[in-house]
Amino acid sequence: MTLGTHIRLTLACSLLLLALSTWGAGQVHGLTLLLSEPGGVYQEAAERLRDDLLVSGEPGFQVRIQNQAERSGPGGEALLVAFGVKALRTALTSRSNAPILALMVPRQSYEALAGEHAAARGRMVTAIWLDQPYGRQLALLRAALPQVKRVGVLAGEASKSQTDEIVRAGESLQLRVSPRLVGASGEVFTALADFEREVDALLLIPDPLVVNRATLQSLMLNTYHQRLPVLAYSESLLRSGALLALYATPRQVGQEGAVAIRAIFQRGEPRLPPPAYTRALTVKLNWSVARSLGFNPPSEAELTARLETAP
Amino acid sequence: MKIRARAMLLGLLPTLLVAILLGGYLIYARLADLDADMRARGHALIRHLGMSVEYGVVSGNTAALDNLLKSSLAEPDVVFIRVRGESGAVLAQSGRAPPGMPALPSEGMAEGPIDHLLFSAPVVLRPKRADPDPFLPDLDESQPRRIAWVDVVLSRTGYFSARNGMLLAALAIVLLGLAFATLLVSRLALTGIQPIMSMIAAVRRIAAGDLSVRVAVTAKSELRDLQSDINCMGESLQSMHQDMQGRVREATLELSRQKEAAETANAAKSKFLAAASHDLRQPMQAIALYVAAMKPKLEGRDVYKILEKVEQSVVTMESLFNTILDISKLDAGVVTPSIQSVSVPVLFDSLAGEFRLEAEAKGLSLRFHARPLVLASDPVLLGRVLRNLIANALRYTEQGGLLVSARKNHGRTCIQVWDTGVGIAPEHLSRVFQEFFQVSNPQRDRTLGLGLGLAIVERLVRLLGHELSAQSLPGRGSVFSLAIPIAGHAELSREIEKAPLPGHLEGQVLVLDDDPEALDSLATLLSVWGLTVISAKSLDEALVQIDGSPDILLTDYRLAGETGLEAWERTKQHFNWKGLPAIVITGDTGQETLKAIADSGAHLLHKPVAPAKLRALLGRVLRNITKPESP
Repeated sequence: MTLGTHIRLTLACSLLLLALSTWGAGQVHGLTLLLSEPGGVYQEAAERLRDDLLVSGEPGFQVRIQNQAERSGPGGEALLVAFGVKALRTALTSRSNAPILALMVPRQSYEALAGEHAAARGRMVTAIWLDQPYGRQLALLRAALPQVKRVGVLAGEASKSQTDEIVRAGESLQLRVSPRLVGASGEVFTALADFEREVDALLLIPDPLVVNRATLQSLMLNTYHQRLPVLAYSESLLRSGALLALYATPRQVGQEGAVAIRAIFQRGEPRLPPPAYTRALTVKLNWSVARSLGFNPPSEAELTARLETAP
Repeated sequence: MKIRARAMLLGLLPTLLVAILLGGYLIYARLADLDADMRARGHALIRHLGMSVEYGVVSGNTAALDNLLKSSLAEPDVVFIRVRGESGAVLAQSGRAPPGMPALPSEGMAEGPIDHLLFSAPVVLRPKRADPDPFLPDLDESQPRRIAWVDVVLSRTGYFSARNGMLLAALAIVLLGLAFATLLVSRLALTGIQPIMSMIAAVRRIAAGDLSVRVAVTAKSELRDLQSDINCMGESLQSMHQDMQGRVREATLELSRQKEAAETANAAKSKFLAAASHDLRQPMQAIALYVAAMKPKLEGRDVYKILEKVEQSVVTMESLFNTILDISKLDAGVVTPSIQSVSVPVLFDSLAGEFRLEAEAKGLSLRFHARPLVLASDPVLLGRVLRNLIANALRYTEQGGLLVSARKNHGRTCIQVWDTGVGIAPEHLSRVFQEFFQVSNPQRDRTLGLGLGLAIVERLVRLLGHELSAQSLPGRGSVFSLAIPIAGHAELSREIEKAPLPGHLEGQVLVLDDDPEALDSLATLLSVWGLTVISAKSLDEALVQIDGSPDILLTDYRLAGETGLEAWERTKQHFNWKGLPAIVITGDTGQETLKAIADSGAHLLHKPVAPAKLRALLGRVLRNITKPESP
């Protein structure tokens, strides 16, 4: 989407909010949807959110979608919705005092940024983390591949703090999680080789040292050769060769965001809930990999249903 | 093949052969390399792809597969790549499949349609573990799993264009090399053989006779010596030629000198013989005529016997003279044979009559055996040949006898004279035909002849064109054979050649001779025979004495002041009788004289004249004359 389109869109939204404010008797909340990048998943999620808010017919929201790069000075909005890490960073550093709802931000990044900025300035910040909770991920692994008893996790410096949580989540599911810390990209394959007989599946967690463009293909090939099923956290990783992926789609993020915003403004003044994992989930299977490696998991719908009904 | 062509061939053929063989071998090797390289590349690529697409196939990442195939398509000669799933479904493909591509092999390589190589390899998921896990035997996957196929098609267009390029380049190089070699050969090799060519040309010209030709001594190799030698040879030949020419000239001069000398000698001999014959015959004839004249007058007296012995001696001497004269005439070539039909029985009858008495006197038998044959020969000369042979045989035969036979043999008549005489030793047989050769007469007994009989026989036979041969066994006898062409059968009527001797002669004879003795003896004889004789030393003297025309003129050839022929001519004019017959007597053997007499139509008698012969001739001539009516 071009800059011109943005401007036209923003103008249209402003005119609509003005009309609504003059038409409706209630309070109108100004929302700014701050995108890390124009277009793409952020745009898709933001538009879904806006559409959901506006289409529901409830007056009181004035929605503006803004690219974080275009942000200059206070916006005067009631809630700043940041899509992505860059947008969150911009929101945190902006001179506005509006509370911030972060969407499409991994928990690890959120915690790092929020700890850095919000605490210092006493701003209200909350988030719906993009990550799926580890318990849910491991549960999916159980459901899809019941024979899996041992799960390997590769963690870099950025994600090593997560490993304890994963291990704990595994314990609750009778899965033995074996985390391996890698100091450099090259160690990924050494660590993978160590898993040779120790694990039955690999859980990928977002860590730039472990999962990056350079290592991805080799990583996948190695898991094939070891017949290791891989559970990934995004659709792109699934396309890159993971057997399973559990993630929230931008559309789901937008929907979930709209629900959350309504809840925030339910009593007039905004009241932010604590940050939490997303409740939205999408299960995807790479049938090519399943065939090649000889796995025969249940269908995506069945798996999704199992997860959604799980406690 | 010419030396030039050979040199060209020698220079070019190895070059061409090496160029073609080397070029062919190198191209073949290079093409084989290219082909092997291409196949190796194909195999390497398919292996590499088999591994590379493993990730894409397993992950189902078609984008990654597409990228991979596209990048592989950039490899040289690759025109089509395809990844098929295990079920055969196409997972990804890149490039354009060649038309008419056959079903790809399950694994390995195949020659594709027109100019393509097809490679195919399975995509294998590698084994999970090298060593099986004893605790998890179910999960053991030590066997590789085939999960897809990769097909690669390489185009051979590049290979073929490289091949064509190489062939063209090789051809160009060969042609260039050939052109260079041709240039080099024609410049160097042919320059090298130039001296040889010039030497060949020079030798050919020398062989053709041009001895002045020389070769330029230009060569720097061993050929230089050869060039010099050819020049030396030319000089030697030239000088030899000139020398030879000089010698030939000298020899020719010498020969012509000798020829002249021989001709002069021969002329001198003929002259001598002619003169001798004439001069010796004159007195001989005179004696003979006197004796003949005296005989009737002395008949019955004592001296008659002496006269008879004188006559006998004269006859012998005359015979000897005649023999010598015959040889001389034959040698002079004045005797011309007159070939006509000769009856063998007639000839034999005549001979039998002639020799019967002689044979009987010696107590020898003489037999003639003749078939009725007719020969082509001169009767007079052939008769003389046979007479000589028979006389010779009688002379040397003391007992036994002679046989004269005639028979047909190989289309010719063979006349043989057999005798049972002393015979001739083989070493003498070839010499019996030489003049004056006598086998058993060392004392030169004149009664045994001069040894000229067989020499005359040999000359006569040669003149007649017959063949003569002799065979003999000493002590047993000899046989002389004559081979004569046959003319035909003789008429059986026996024509008697011999005219019967005239008993009495009549007529007036004018006798001219400038030698008084000869004139007198001749006149005496003619008178004895009953002829009217008017004798004179010259015609003018005779014309004073004579009244009417004589019946015949008998004259010596050599008269004082004129020849007998001129006298005859004047006599004919004087008496106005063109048909006046004449007998010319001469001792000359000169060819011109004899020819002149023969041409004039006069009868010829050689000196010394046998009285019988003269009488016979006179009788014949006088019988046939027809005198014109006297005016």
